[in-house]
Amino acid sequence: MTCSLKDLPEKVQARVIDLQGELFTTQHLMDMGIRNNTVIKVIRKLFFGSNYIIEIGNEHLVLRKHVAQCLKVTTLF
Amino acid sequence: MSKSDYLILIGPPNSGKTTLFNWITGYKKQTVNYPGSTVDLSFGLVRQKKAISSWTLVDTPGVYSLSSPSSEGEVTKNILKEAIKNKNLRGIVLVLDATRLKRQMVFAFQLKELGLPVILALSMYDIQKQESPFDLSTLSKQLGIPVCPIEGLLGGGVFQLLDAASIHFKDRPMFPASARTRFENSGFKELAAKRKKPKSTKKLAPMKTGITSYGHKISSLPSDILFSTWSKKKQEEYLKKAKKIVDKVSIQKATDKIGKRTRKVDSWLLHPVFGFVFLSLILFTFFSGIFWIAQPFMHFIDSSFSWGADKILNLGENRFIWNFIANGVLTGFGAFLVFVPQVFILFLGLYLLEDSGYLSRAVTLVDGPFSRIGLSGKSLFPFLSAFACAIPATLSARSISSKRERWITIFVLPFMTCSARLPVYALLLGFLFYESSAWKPGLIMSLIYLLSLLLGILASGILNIFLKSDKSSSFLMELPLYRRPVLFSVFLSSWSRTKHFIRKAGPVIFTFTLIMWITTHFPRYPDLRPEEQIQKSYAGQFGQMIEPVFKHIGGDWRVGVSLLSAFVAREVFVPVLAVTLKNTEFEESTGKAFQSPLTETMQKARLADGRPLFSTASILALLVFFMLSLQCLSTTGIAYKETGSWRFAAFQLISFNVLAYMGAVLSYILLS
Ligand SMILES: Nc1nc2c(ncn2[C@@H]2O[C@H](COP(=O)(O)OP(=O)(O)OP(=O)(O)O)[C@@H](O)[C@H]2O)c(=O)[nH]1
Ligand SMILES: [Mg+2]
Repeated sequence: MTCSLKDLPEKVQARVIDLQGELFTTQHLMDMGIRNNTVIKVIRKLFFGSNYIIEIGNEHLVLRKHVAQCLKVTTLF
Repeated sequence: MSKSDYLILIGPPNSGKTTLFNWITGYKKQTVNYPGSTVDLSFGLVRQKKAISSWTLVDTPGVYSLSSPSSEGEVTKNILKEAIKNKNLRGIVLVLDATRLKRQMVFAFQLKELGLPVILALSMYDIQKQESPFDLSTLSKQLGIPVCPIEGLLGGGVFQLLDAASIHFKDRPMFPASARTRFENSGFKELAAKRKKPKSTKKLAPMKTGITSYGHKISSLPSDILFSTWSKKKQEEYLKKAKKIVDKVSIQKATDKIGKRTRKVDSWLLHPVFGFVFLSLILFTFFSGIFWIAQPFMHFIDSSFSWGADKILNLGENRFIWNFIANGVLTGFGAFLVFVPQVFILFLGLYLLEDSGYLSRAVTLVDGPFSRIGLSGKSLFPFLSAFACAIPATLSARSISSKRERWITIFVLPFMTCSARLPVYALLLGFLFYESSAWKPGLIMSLIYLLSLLLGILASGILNIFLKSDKSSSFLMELPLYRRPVLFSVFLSSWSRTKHFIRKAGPVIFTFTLIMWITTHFPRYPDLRPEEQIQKSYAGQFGQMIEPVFKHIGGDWRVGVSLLSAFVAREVFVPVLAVTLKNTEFEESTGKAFQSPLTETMQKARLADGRPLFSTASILALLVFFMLSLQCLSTTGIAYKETGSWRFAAFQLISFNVLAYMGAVLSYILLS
């Protein structure tokens, strides 16, 4: 399944296939080590889905819903 | 700054730059387990084995790379540009978190590619070592720069780092030939032609790693060229390369024990429901602890000062000097110092909250609700630091990337209960709950703290409705590992902040004590009774002039004078009130000044018509006034500096104080 990270269900592993959106946001994502092919997982959504806690490697990051929308992912299994 | 050579610490947020800065310079800048805690530059001389070198070490706000778009990033880029322009860049110490090397290493590639003189300080190596040590010499070869492991908590590796730096940067570094060609091919030929050829190309002794140092002087390359953004493709490539290198140099497979522990704790602390429950519990315990834990210490200080004043007065109350020392200096400082234990506990609590790593979780939790009212989760960091002082808090709002969210945060910051208000609240609550057990004022105190947070949130909500919306707000943050704070250093830092708090207030308190004592004692009318003498004194005359303003909130001129003095520094309210009351209230039986704790004197103080000066209504009116007012002009100054808008600062100053006065009048009328 290919979708934006925003629509990825919790606890499902996926691979990043594209970073979209403004430079400001994409650069920020890159700074955090998120690039094409990075394996990513949504651990939990907070406060009615307005924030996402995600896992990359063995680190956790938190981002807002509209940042999650900038990440196109495809599920791994 | 001076022209001495700069050694600049650069690195991603929370990588340990400030910790390293403190070890090298001997400063005690605050280090916090929260990305984005440093927002401004610090300068300090490099000290090595008691010797002070002429190099200046510069601590910078964290940036992930030179192409990072953030306002703190500008500060870091600017100092780098400036140092290159002024030719005093001795070298760069890139501080990367060993446990996050895979994605932070890109920064090393970038600096290297730009031809900047750099060595790598690999911080958090104590943690990494436990998990999976690195083959450091291979890492160094792969990167092409010296690599020094740092164990920041105990200062391990700092000397070695300085040794490496002094060898590597011995000659002034320069751009290696590769950077020069790139530069000359990039359309700046004319400029380059004007520049002189570098003189010396002397090679320095190679490092153990086999890497040679830079041999030329830095030429003044137009510094803008350094910081053009990298293409996405290139960054991808480098991220891939970083992963490969880390895999290669890892001696054993990481067990990720520490990470697992953090994630386990997080499954509770970041739980969609329990997370908020824990957050409320933690905040509540913290705020109420301020009152409860400090109680016995306060009592001790209070009685010591009363005892001292009593002894001194026994030496002869009519001698001016003894009277001044007892009823002026001791009373003033005693009234203020009583609250120092509370301030200490406040700092301690904040420090624990910040350094354990919990702050980032709290920020994560509140971002959802905060984003609905025009704030960012990251506003919580300034809010909490504003419980200490609004000035550094205003600066720390820089870590909020959206301008709109930043401005709203700065605007509502003065609502937070800063440490200078703590003595005032504690005194007023001490009066309200006179002779009742400590849990009640403790409870109310924590409610006041929470209320100040709520007021800030409410005000943001209102501003949010009226301000144009802004799409640029984004929120993306890494969650640091939990760390057990080192108790010794926690105590030390809290104590050093407390000392600073006392030292800052000291001179102001002394000046006001002096003024109040003199103006209540002069001009002298030896024949009059003490009460009449006061009426005719300078303070009494001035007081009658301003009294009408303060009548509406239930105070008389003495409250008025104390309130006015609070505009110099809020905490001065307490000592000024103490000195004024002690010198204007007399025991009926003896005609002498009261030698009792301030709350007791307040209980006995009378208005001119014989009614008690302080009632529940007037005390609550004062509380409301202090909660809503913006008395600290330095806050206005810094708000102006940070927003660059005098309209913002003026509107903030006026609206807060008008609101405060109206609120106080209203609550006095309603309650009396
Ligand atoms: N275990 C361990 N902890 C460290 C080390 N260096 C720093 N820390 C801790 O990491 C946290 C962040 O350290 P800082 O020195 O404030 O980091 P910084 O790079 O200045 O962070 P910003 O100012 O936010 O960019 C603090 O809690 C430090 O105590 C280290 O080498 N080992
Ligand atoms: Mg720092």
